[in-house]
Amino acid sequence: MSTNTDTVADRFATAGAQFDPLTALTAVALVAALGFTLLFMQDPLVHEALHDFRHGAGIICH
Amino acid sequence: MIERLRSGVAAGALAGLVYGLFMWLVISPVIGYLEHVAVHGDGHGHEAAHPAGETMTAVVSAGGGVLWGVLLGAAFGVAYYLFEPALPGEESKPYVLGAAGFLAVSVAPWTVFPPATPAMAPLYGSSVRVPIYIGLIGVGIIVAAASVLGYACTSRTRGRGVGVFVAVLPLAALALLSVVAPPTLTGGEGSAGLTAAFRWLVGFSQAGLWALIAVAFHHLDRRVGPQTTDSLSAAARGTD
Repeated sequence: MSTNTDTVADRFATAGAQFDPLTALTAVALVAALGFTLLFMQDPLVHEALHDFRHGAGIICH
Repeated sequence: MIERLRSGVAAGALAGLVYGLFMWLVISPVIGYLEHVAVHGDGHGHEAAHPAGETMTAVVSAGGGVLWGVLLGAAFGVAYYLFEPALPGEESKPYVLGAAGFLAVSVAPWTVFPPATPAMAPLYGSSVRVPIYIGLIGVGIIVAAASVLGYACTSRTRGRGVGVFVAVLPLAALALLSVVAPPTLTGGEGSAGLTAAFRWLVGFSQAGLWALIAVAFHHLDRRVGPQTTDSLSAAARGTD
């Protein structure tokens, strides 16, 4: 499924050229927000509602 | 890159839906049962704390499972775009990345913080656990990268057997970490069998989630991508 000859460095360069820093930052922030909510949010209501998920996924931060 | 991200999110959503369903139908009832056993067994559990309600907890947890799949799928798509040239194999590239993801996100943290049943209580507060947990994911990424790169480099020059041997070395180091790591959980001694069964369930469900993401991504990516090669090897592989 890949015939290319480019390297990992090329891919990083292409990605850097395709996306401006603000877009990349926004994407990273959204992913971080989702990850934080699922894994680390300690607010009691959120925490308890995700209780089964955290046990089931083997995530210890609950 | 956008195509790969799209494939990754779609694969993650698909895998997440299956995983969410599994969470709803299997894991939530199992945890409910384990809580029941814990509370009425040795009085160690934390069944009482359910301000959100049983049904709500099950629904949100199933939804969390779906979002978890989407999150992992998105990360998978981006990582696949960036690191695809370095992955060994042709048709097996998504599966190598899936295994690396499972190792980094799940297995590496489990070496110090094994999955806890409701009967167990953590020894340390979350302010201690969260940084270590994040650090362990970093360790897992390094181990996975070392393993894959070690295999790719040595198998090219010294042959496949040596490559496999070199690839196993970082994994053995990670296994050693799980042996030397201090215990982080208390309780649940009375039901070693239940704990082991629960851990296998957790481990297999996470591995299955990653496998499903890799399989779905492989199919979607081939349909989207410009190159179309034979589809036999992917079709022959089962999911979980």
